[in-house]
Amino acid sequence: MATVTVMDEPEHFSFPVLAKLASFGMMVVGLVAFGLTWIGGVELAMTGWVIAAWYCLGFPLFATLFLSISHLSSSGWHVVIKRVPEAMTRYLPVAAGTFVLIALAALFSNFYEWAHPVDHGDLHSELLAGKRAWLNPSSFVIRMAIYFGIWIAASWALVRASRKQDVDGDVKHTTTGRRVAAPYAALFAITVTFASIDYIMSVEPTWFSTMFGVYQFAGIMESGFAMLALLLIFLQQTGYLRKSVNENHYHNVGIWLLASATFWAYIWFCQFMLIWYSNIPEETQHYLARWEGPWFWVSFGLNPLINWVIPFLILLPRPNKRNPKMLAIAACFALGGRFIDLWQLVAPRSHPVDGIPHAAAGVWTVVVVGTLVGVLGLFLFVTLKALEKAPLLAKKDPYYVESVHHHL
Amino acid sequence: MAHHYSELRMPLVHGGKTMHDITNDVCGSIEGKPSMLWWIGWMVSGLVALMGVLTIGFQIYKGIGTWGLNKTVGWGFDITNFVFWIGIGHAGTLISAVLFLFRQKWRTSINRSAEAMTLFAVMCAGLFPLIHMGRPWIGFLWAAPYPNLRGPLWVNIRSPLLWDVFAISTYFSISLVFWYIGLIPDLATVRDRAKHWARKFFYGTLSMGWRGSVRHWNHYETSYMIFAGLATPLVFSVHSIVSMDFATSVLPGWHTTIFPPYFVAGAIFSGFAMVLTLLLIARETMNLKQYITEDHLENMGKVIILTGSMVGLAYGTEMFMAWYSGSMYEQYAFINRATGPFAWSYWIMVSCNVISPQTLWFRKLRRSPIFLFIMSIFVNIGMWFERFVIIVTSLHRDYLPSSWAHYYPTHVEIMELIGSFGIFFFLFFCFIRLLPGIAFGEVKGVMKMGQKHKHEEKPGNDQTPAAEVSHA
Repeated sequence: MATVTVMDEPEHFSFPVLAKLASFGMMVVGLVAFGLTWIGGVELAMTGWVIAAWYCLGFPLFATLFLSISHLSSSGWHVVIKRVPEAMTRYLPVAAGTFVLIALAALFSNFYEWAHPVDHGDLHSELLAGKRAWLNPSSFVIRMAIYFGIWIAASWALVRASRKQDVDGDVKHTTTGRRVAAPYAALFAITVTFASIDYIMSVEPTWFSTMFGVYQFAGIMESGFAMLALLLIFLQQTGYLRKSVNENHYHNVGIWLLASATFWAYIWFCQFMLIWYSNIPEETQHYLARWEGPWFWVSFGLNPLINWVIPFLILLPRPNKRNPKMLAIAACFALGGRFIDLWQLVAPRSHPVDGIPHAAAGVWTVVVVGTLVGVLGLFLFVTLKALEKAPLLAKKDPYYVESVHHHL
Repeated sequence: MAHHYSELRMPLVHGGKTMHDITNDVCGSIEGKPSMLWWIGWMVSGLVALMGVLTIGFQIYKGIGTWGLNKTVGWGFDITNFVFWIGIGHAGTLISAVLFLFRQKWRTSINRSAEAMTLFAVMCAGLFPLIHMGRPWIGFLWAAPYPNLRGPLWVNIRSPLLWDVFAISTYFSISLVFWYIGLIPDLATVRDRAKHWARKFFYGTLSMGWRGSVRHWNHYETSYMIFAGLATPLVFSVHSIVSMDFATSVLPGWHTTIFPPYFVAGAIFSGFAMVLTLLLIARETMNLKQYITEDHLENMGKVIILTGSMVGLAYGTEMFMAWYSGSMYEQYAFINRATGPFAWSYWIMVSCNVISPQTLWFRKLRRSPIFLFIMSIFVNIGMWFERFVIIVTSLHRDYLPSSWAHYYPTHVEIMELIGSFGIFFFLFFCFIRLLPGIAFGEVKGVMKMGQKHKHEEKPGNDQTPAAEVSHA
């Protein structure tokens, strides 16, 4: 099919021992840190865990959507890199495991205030009672099973079609992928919207924002492209895909990272500005808890700075998008920004829970980051392990020829 | 640089055209005598536009009292029409700028007329806030103090209505320049083909001395890319700011944080529907079927189902959050939408915008021009009603039941709405007669796609018709 055959690069990825050790090391750090957070109480421990689990869940979710979008838009350029997002989706069943702990927290702890509300006879309790139909532990767990069921099924179908094509090169597998991608894109939008409400927004159960699902979607896309860029650079550094992936592919990933960072900034600003402008107490409670005290510098300083300003300035010039080093720096900022964003969403609370000290600030931040490092190690281990399972290049993909010759 | 295309890519232009054929086909349509169909369209839309202009004159002479607005419903058809037309004006720049940045080559057949449509739609939109002022001549001195009984009244920089003025005028300027830059090489071709001195002079002036040298093309490509980059954030900002006219208020039904992206999706949705309406007419009457092929129609159908579903998700999210918020005012606003005195408009909106586009999941329907035409009309109606629902049903019953009121549009408002369609179509008919309606310079650049290359070996078993895999 293609006129150019790619030589001199290994067809199969093998997980370098050093990387394996590093991911184990990260997991150990995570276990220790997570253990330490229990000293601060269940709220602190779960704050770290919810951030870490949701943060890493974003990568496989991004990967399924990336593959779906590529199918739906008949994209060609992505074929040489598509094994990486395919491997990322393999983390989904493991992510389901990390969410079991969140389900347990909803069932047996006060991390989610709505799970076991205490009636004080005030307006706050009344509001919580009004949301009982949605916010209760059993329907929370059922919804979790539905979301993961949809995500895992779709990712399995997408990857299966791609693997089958490796064997027979039949175009019909591209059609199958497309047929999965179209309904999945719709289901993705719905499930991610409600999952964002369930896991993150309901930490402050009296606060609400219709934008919230879009806001989380933007963060998932930004961190997802950043992770994709870093994994690609890692592969090339360790001697894989050296010939077939070039600066033109980096350029496209860079454009996407730039665009998704900017989209995040747009959504972040609009949500804040509209609530600030209207100044309705039910809505401003969320921002008030972050407007006063040290959180201000995290929420309104660091957050936009490293999520958008710095990646934007780095990635705007064309040469930087094509330079793996600059792309990696921008991606690291975006990944750091995703943590800051989630941290300032989950940790401060406008209405602290009874009997649990207002935690997860100051020195505990380091420990909370430790939990994230651990789950990130788990994600990397699963992804790189999955990458070994299939050839790195999908040479029988009908769009392979376009991808190899991709030029911007 | 050689182009390599997958076997699955279909040719963008059908009929085995040569470069010369393309020039002839597109330029021919503005060189010969216009067809009967064009004359009829031009005159009918001209008459409707004239009716609209006369109605506006009458309304300015008599005053805003000729409208059906009242103290409770202070915005009615006027702002509904404004938001509707601004929305229509989004597809053009989306196609030309955003799809350009995404390297979507199919845009070349449709971008020129979509961009022209954008400009005309923004003109129609700008008309309504202007005549809403009652004394529109003051609008031209907008930045000066507004004469008022209490002394000079300066514009309020904190008001989203003022942001609108800036956003829309910026958008219009950039869209105009972007459109014009794209036109220059084609205008030069028309100039070179011109026989009459007046035509030579007219197109010669417009093409600004374009000679097609390498330097010219180099500058052209660079500035086109820069303008695409500048126009892309504008596609998002304009309708986001329009949505803030509502969302910065404290009114249930208006104040919701999802408005900016939801309005942008809705704008692209309605804009694509209008592009479909116009292009389906144009390809039928001007014999452009080999340029605006069924693949183009299908792609537009896909954008419609995508943005229509986004809008549907936003409706659902709003409903859910109204309940979830626990605020009785929010809850009532949405119950009132679906069951109150304006429930009919709500259900028109839902069935046109959310339910009817779902038919486009079927490939056969996406490729049927007649079905798409009906569909696009439905979406146009639905998106007009969406703005009507947001504006009127939220206003007519607010916090105080004692101030609840109903709203009945007068014949003046209805005639102004119809008149704006007349103006829009009249301008469009003038455009397709005066300027090349297809960016043939760009179409020529994408001719290679989907055509077999000599140096590429074709494996014998890979002859699967590409059509089979374009299901979605």
